[in-house]
Amino acid sequence: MKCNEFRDKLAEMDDSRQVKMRDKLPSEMTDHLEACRDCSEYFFEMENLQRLLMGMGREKIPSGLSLKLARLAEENSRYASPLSARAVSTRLIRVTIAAVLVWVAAALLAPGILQPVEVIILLSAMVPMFEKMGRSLISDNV
Amino acid sequence: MARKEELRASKYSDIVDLYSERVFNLAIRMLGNREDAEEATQDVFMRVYKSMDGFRGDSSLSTWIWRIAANVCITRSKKKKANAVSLENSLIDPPDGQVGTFSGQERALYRTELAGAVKEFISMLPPNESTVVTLFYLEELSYEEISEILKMPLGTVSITLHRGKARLRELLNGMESHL
Repeated sequence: MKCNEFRDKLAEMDDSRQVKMRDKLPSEMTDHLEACRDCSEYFFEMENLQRLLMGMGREKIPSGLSLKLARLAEENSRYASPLSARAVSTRLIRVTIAAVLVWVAAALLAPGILQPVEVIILLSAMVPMFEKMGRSLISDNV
Repeated sequence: MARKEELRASKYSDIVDLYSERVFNLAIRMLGNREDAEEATQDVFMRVYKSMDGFRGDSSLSTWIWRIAANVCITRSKKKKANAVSLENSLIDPPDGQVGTFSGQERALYRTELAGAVKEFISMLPPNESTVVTLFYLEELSYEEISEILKMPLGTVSITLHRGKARLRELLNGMESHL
């Protein structure tokens, strides 16, 4: 076995991430290791490096950074909240418009001022006006 | 619409919880210091948030995040290397430059710093090599996963890893030759 061949085989064994694999070197490699001083040194250096790399521990994320990233998430949530407020305002204004229309209809129908058909025509004319008012209210508030 | 935004923010929070420490560790290995790593991590998560809608699920979420993280760190690392004077000598030199005058105890102490030195040396590697070494050894990703993240053929991943390790070995030898 030549040195290049030995080193290539060794590299292939590294891929398994198992340092212990090297304890079971094929006999050809063991023979070369015993015969070649350079490759023997290379082998121990690479084994040392492999162990160091495999023993690299993770570092804890700094608490300041965790907070910054969390704040970024909160800001994202806050970005979502005005849209929720808008949705709530729209619903509130729709309910108010409906209530006003029912009250107007009752006020006109009860004393017999208008006929039901006339009330319906009047209210349908009023709806777009109320909607326009509602929209301007939402855009002013949100 | 509001619900979609809330879901997006909540999904983003989950991603931060799951990946922030891992992304920070990739950044610290590749950039070599905490300040740069913190900035890079923030940059990564800003990009993740901004491009979340564009994530189509063609690859797994982790592959997608690693790809963003690797790209951010590689770009920063290239910029940093272009501006920096070689750090190699300052790191290889033993304390006070007292070459060959260490006592046995000092030598042993210095040797325990090897592990720390390896971490520093990784940031000195060319960006592609430091990314592959970190993803392989720290994140324990497979060649296939790294190949997908970096859009690199499998053979290139293998060669890049071996080149990186060869360079690390030389750096370590340089450090030890001072002892």
